[in-house]
Amino acid sequence: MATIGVLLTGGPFQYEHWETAVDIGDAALAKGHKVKYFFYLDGVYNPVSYQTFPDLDVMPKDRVQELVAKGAEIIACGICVNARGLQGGKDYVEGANVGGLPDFAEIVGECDRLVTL
Amino acid sequence: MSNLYLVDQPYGGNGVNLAVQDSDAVVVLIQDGVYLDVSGLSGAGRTVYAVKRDVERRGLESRVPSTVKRIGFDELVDLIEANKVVNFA
Amino acid sequence: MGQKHVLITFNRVPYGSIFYTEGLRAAVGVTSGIDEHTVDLLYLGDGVNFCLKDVDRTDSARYLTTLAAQDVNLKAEKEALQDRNIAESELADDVEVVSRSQALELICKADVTIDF
Repeated sequence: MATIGVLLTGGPFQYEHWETAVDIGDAALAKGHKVKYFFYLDGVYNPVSYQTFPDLDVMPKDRVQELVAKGAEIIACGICVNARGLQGGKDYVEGANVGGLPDFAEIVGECDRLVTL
Repeated sequence: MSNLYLVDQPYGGNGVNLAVQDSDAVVVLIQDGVYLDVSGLSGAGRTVYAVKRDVERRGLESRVPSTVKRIGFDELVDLIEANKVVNFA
Repeated sequence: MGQKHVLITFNRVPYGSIFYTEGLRAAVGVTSGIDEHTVDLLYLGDGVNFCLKDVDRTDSARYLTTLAAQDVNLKAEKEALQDRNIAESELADDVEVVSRSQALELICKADVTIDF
């Protein structure tokens, strides 16, 4: 089994990279791989728990939470989080953590493959 | 282990240019990457895949050449596991 | 865990978006962890516009200085420069021009790649 790192810079509700990132993670977890995400730049908007949007039944944050429940590790860049006024990720869904680039460096060290979206 | 180019727009063309020269390249078109002209890749003998859902949603089933193999996320993960990922997405 | 060699490609024009400088911040972050990963910086396509000598580096200088101290320079793809009619004389001093074949060698040498 492999460890797959995913660097996600795409935010929700404007671009759809987050969806590809989540779908890859879902498929990888189902195969028994480890998946570790680092959310960078607008990617840090994905785990915000107060997301609402009339056209979507399942919000990006719901998919993030499902990934966590299936064993994915999720770390968001703290500088990016605070730059966007997300205040240390206080409104993040359970299991989405705030860290920093050293965490990303660690993911780079641990992963067998890195996908960036 | 081949080089697996994950290619999207707007700058996936940079990856395509490299993959054309890379005899060890396999290319996967994701999201808007399915709009890219892959004739150069096919002409150079490269295997090209596209995420099936991304092709279908955009109504490109008849426009993306049949030589481009449609894959789901299950197969994409197998390709990611088996190759070195070269990111252009 | 383990030290890896990371190729970071820059594909977008400088300014208009922050990828050109946030990618450099990530490059510094990647090299400063306990694994001491090493990086190559490769400018491709529209990304080569960052390599022009007169580009304002106010936002990126501190990252470039840190990386330069680790002997990391900027590599710009020759074909991308030619496509944009950019002469080598227009480039900053810390830019090395590499051919597409050399760019490919950088990909082959890298353990992981990151694109900005």
